[in-house]
Amino acid sequence: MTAHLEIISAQKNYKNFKAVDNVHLSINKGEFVTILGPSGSGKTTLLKLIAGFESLNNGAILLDGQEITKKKAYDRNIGMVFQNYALFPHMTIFDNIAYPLQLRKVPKQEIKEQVYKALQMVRLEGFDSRFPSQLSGGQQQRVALARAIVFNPPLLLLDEPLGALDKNLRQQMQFEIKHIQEKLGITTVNVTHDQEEALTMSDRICVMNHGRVEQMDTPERLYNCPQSKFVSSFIGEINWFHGEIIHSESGLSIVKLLNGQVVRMKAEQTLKENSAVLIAIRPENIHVVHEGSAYTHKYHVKVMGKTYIGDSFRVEAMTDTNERISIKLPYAATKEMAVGDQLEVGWNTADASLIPDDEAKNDAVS
Amino acid sequence: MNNAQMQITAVPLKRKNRRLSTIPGMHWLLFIIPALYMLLLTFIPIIKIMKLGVHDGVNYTFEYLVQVFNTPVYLKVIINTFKISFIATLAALLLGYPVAYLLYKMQSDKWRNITMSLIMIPFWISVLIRTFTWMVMLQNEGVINKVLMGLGLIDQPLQLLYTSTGNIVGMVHYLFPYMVLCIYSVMKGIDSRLLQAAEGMGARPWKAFRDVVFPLSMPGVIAGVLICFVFSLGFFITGVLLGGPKDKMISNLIANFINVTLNWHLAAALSIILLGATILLIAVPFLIFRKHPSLKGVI
Repeated sequence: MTAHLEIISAQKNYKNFKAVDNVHLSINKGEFVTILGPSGSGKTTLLKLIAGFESLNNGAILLDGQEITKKKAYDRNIGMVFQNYALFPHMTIFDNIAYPLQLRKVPKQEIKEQVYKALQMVRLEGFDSRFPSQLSGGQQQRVALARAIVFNPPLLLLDEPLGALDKNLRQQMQFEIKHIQEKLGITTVNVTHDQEEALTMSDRICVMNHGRVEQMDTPERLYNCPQSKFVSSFIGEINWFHGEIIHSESGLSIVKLLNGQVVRMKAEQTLKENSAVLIAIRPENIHVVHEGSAYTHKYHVKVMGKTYIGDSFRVEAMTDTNERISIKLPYAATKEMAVGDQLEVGWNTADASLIPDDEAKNDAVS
Repeated sequence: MNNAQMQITAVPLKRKNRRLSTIPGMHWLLFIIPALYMLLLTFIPIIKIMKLGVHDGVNYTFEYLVQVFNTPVYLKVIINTFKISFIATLAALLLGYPVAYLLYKMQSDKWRNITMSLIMIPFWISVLIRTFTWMVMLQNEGVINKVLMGLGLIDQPLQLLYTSTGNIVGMVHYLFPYMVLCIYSVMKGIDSRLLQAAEGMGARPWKAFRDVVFPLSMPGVIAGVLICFVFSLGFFITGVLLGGPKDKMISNLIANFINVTLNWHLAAALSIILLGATILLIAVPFLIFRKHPSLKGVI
């Protein structure tokens, strides 16, 4: 499949600040991609570059194989939902949704049909003669979505569309947006800092930090095989075991951990010998060792505290090498557990990912 | 000082039981004082003056109002006042709107502040001084004529001073900041993302302006036009110093009746007409535009 939206070495600077730094992105037709990152990561700037509200310092943007880098926003034919909805307060809902069609000189009768179709899609029939101020936040959100898709754009951009809604409504809207997006088969780029939203809605997630793409992958891969320290900590909870590469060969790395244990595991990226690495494991992949259970690696830890988190307990523990870890355990397993208890936990290399320890590297340089 | 020696003692909150503010109804005083001031020193004198227009000392009468409407000269002055006010307001709007829009579009705070100061500084200078300045500028040997002649655009100096043009130039100079501020204060509230949204949907900048910023700035335009027009109706010194004999305004006529001919009844009758027209001018647009969606929450 050829890429529908392609961003090639995009660069955007604000004076000396690199807001978007050499970003490559390739999005397929009909795909829902979320750009996820903390504030200041450049995700919104990247979206503005795609929409044409900002111009690139360097690089190119291709939509449907055509270069749109130099095109003005009004010539790009891209649908966009803004963070604050940006509905025209002086126009009725009908006029708001009809606006992009009027600009395209669509005949009046057809405009009517299209607008009512769009209203039906976002389940707002009968609201056409109201003004935006008479609608709730969720309803305004739907109108903004209807307005962005009514002219059948090849690409839909969502700028933190659910940021202003409360949690229940947000989940409902996530589902609805996703449903409409799949029904229309429209290529969609969503920007958010909400990892849950990204995980539930996206076909692929592009994690950004400091203007750069850290990793672009499916939600599952991003969660289970993070490629960098930032990605592993930004999505979900993570435990890190510090180590050092002692041998690396044809994708297989041998890592020596702080407690002397040696781990053999596959690495997605080539790691130099003697470089500092982290073995990242999710809290739910660390288990209490019982008789007969086999784990590739075992650790002795001391329980530091436990927190009830609804469906299970989170146990904070300290390893012999003073590494703090967090384990997610079912209620039954923690019943007898008290602070100060010694515990043997185990994990499997299959559940862990090997990632470079950037900070340690930086320390070595400085 | 030794910190360890410092002790925190709980100080009980002591309140005087009978303070002025605890006397019931005392906060009304804050309202009553200015209200009395306005009532005694502003409204009562106005009503008393107004009364002279419809009261000949013995009976109520329409004699003076009828006299105003039956005297072509007075009528002409009234019509002229409205005409001059209309032109001056229109000119202020045409000059002020683009400036307000420029302020709205400006990205740099620094340049916006500089532009704002340039607009505001004349605003702080006395009208009289500004009017005298215009006399210097507009006279036959003045800066404007000298420059035009120097450039070879004209052979004879243009008669600018003591003409309607001179009068309107002076008036617009006074009205301009009010117009800009009225429009800009409303424009400032227009979310710039609305413009982006319009452009994203395919509207070229001019179209986006016409469909979004212009209609949403209407409350500011209406407010600016009303304020400027009402100000214009009461202009006094500009017409005297810069205008010609035809540029007599109602206020000049009223002053003439008060100070020269001492016909206070006619002065009062004219004042009633001026006030009535002003109230009408504010009320009519209010009633027309009250239901306009873009004015929601403005009036």
